[in-house]
Amino acid sequence: MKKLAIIATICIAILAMAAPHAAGQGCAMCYQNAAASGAKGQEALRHGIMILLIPALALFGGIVAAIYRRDNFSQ
Amino acid sequence: MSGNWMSSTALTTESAEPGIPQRVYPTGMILTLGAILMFFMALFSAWVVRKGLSTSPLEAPISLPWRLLSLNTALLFASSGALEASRRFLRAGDTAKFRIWWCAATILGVAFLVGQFEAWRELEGQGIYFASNPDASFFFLFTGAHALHLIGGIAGLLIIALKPLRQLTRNTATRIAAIYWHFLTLIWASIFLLLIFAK
Repeated sequence: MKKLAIIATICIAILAMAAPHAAGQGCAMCYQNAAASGAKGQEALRHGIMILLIPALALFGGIVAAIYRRDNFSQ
Repeated sequence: MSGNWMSSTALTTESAEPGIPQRVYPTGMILTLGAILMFFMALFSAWVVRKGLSTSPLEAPISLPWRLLSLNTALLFASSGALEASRRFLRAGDTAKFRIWWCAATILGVAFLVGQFEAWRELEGQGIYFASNPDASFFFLFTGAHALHLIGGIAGLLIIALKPLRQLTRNTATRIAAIYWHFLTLIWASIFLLLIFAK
């Protein structure tokens, strides 16, 4: 449990350090295309990203939870 | 296990080759479903973005054969229900009813596929083809991808019904088939709801 907490803290710290780079990603052409697509287009892009993000995060969380539960069960 | 496992003698004995634990198979199936879910989510996402970026009046929504699609949806839900009833009879040890309901689920699945094909033909009758319009392309893509997965599911149901199983017990085999089948029913329900909301 303690080991898992340490690993999780390190992962969060690495992700936090990488955040400015994440915000600065994307090529200039993609950025301009998205900016020129209008309010409706930008909303559609946001929805599209959320549709991809939510199930992926749910699957990832589910797998981690299943591993954690199995690990505790076997101990 | 030898011979057709749907036969009464085969069903009365629970046997699988030792080695692989039975719980591995449902876990493998659930992980596979994760990959299939992401495939359909990628299609949904692409469709939502494409609709949002659409500005041309030529890209107006197409009129779908709603009555036929509703009937197909009912057939697929009935198929899922029949599969669950079949598993219940298996657990109760009633092999005759188990066989009847398993076959009914398979036939209803085939009827759904025939219905989807008929929906395609209706659209083609209206002059709507894959490349006619982005909405038409996505409709053919959604239904085609789902139908291909369903054909795999029907093959699975038939294999479980007709072939002898070596590494799986009958309970595991019917369980993973049911997980896959119910998942495809839910995917179709999502596609159907999405099509309704996008009308």
